[in-house]
Amino acid sequence: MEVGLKKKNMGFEETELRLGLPGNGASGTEEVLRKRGFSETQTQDDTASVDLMLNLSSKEPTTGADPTDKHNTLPKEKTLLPADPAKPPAKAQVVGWPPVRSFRKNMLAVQKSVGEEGEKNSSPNASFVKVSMDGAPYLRKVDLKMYKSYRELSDSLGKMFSSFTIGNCESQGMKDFMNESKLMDLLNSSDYVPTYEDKDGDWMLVGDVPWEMFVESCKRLRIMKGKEAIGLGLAPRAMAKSKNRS
Amino acid sequence: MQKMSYTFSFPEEVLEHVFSFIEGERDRNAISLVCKSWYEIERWCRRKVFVGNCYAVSPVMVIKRFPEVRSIALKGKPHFADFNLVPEGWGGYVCPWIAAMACAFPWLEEIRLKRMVITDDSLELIAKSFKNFKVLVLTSCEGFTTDGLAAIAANCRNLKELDLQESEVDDLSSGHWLSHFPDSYTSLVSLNISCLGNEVSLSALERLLGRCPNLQTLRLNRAVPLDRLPNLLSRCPQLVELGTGVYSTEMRPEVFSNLEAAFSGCKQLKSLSGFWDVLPSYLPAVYPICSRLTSLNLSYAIIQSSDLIKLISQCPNLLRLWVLDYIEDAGLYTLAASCKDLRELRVFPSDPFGLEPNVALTEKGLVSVSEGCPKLQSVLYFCRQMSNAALHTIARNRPNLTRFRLCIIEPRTPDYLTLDPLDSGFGAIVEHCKDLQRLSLSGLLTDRVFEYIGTYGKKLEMLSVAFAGDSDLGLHHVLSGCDNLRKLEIRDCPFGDKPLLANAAKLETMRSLWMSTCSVSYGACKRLGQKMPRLNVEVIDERGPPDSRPDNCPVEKLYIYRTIAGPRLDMPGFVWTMEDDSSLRIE
Repeated sequence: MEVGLKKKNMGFEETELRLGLPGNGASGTEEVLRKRGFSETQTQDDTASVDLMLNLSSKEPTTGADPTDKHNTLPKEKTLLPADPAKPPAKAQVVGWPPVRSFRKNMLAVQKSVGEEGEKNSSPNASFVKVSMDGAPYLRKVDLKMYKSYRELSDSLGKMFSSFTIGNCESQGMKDFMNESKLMDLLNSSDYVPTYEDKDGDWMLVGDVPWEMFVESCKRLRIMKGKEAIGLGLAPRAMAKSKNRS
Repeated sequence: MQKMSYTFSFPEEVLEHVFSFIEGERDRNAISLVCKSWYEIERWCRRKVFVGNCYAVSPVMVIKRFPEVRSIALKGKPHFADFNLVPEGWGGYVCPWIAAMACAFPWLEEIRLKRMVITDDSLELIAKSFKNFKVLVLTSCEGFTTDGLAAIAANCRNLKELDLQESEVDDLSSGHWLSHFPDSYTSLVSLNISCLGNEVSLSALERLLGRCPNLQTLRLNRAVPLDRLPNLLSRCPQLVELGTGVYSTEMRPEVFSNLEAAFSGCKQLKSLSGFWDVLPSYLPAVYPICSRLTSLNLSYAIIQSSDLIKLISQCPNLLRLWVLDYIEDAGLYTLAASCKDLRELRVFPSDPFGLEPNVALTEKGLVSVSEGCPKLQSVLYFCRQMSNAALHTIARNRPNLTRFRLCIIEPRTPDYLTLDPLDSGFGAIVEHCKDLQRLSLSGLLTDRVFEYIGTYGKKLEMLSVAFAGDSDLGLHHVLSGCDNLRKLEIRDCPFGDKPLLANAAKLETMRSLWMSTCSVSYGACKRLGQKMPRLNVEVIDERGPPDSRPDNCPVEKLYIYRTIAGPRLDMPGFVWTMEDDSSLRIE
């Protein structure tokens, strides 16, 4: 019976989250699920550096839409398939089972999960930070909690300040900081570099620490010209950090 | 001697007046069968019509028989459409009904639809055609956008109820549809927009609430921020039923105290729902009103068991609780101890596709509620383990159960203590619960359970079966034994041609039968269709025309329903009605 393969109905989001069930031997389906999961692991460059601070107890519901959730539950899945290929497919996805209405599944999927992550995300730490950009006539404010990754933040800042930048804008700058050799080019150029003041009052280069940690510790953002960043003594620290990382 | 004739010579008006006190459609149907004159009188004064299957009868037929209808309810797709078993485009279009009624029932006041497809055009037609339109309830419907809602808001000056329960709405207008209610509009009694994805204009909503003094039910959508809720509530302190929006925001003392005060200010509030993204520190804001609550829907609320316990232990008057399995057995023990009036419990799975249990919820929770809550009638329970012993206990504790739906998440799970099938446990349920109307089975089940159901399930009206049974005998027991069966839905069971053909006549006494991934052959479907002209035997098969395969090949899905309207004309390419003339199908 090929019924299990039908995914044309609504709720593709939900099929991403299903880990399947042992069932009637519709063996083709769970590979599709797993493949998607694996490829997500491989191509997740944005979240690759995100701190796996999620408490991975078996109590953690796996229906969170947060990609890091999927990331964390994959190790469990991994042991099922490659570990013992001789075993029959552990959990085959069965359409319409268990009988939970799509409406309900979707509603649960978009909510945050219980436990530490949930509480952290709803924590009262101030998420609005001022953003200044050298040369821009006024400051902006962003709510860091609105974003899930550096990429999202940089895209948003880029849009905010696009009218003021000459040449390269933030998103390129933020992407390149991860790459050490480009970091030096960046700092030497007149391109803009995002920096932030952390809880200790130190000025840091954006992008060194995992996203969550950044959100917790960032008090304000400043987008400054690369040359000025070196002048402020930022570069040596940034260089030292990136050296430590490699 | 003169013969005394016993003709009742009441004038028609008197009979009509008497009939007006009888509203239930079953009683009305019974009245109409007494004699021809009663049939005639009754049909002219019937105001409410319920059509359980929109394809069982045509709009023209309804209009012809009941020319003075003010309220209509229609149901479209089969129940299993809720679980994606009915392919997109199957049908359930309400358009022909609206078009026909627009002409025939200018005084129509109420339209209630379930699992139907309704377009903006139809909504506009409703808005323009029915001058006294009052109630629109769209449950699990789809096909429309907020533009259609804007038309309703703009034109229906006497609208009392707009309920979009769990429908799929294309949310285009960023909340502006709500602003189409004119300033002169004040008659709103019930508004349920909980399914809408986008924000509604809060200022428009506030003004609306402020000018509608009869508002009793307000179900907001997730996009309504928590810190705006007190303001909204202050406009309608007479609310009886409230669905919150998102239930978290930055933890700020003044927001909390505003919220608490706002809840307390609603002295009639009895029902709460919503609670998306709950921040537990905000839960105590509802504590002051817990003692008045009769209905609590926390089925979207991700709340730990300990917080649920604190909440529930303060709700002694609870009649209905819908909750996620985060409540765990511990929470259900509290429920059993605190809520002695409970009538209905639904426990939904937080992680239906997880490989392992993520919560400590077992059969023990349900057993405890069955012991502690003497008025419990209706149960929907998702769990991962069950035993015959537990089911026996539940059955003996609660013979007053009328609805029992148990879903053991893993198909074919046996009794976890004995590894036996759960036949005996479910058998106990049907044996003891003599008024059981609705039953859903799960777990490892043989033909035996169907024997019990056929023997004892005399009042059973709806039965849902999945991954159960061994042979044709199972289906035969049910079809031959359940005298009051109206709806039967079966998936992934080894039931074939024989019991269907042997019980063909039975199928005309039921509303519908659904069978998918079973063993019914195309040949049997054809024979059934030929044999039973007042049944539509629909074969749903996405592999292509069943003619292209041998007659003994099983069909993917089968939907059989009684009808006096003949085969429907709006079937998509993957549905075939077993009739002689297949050219009736319109692509």
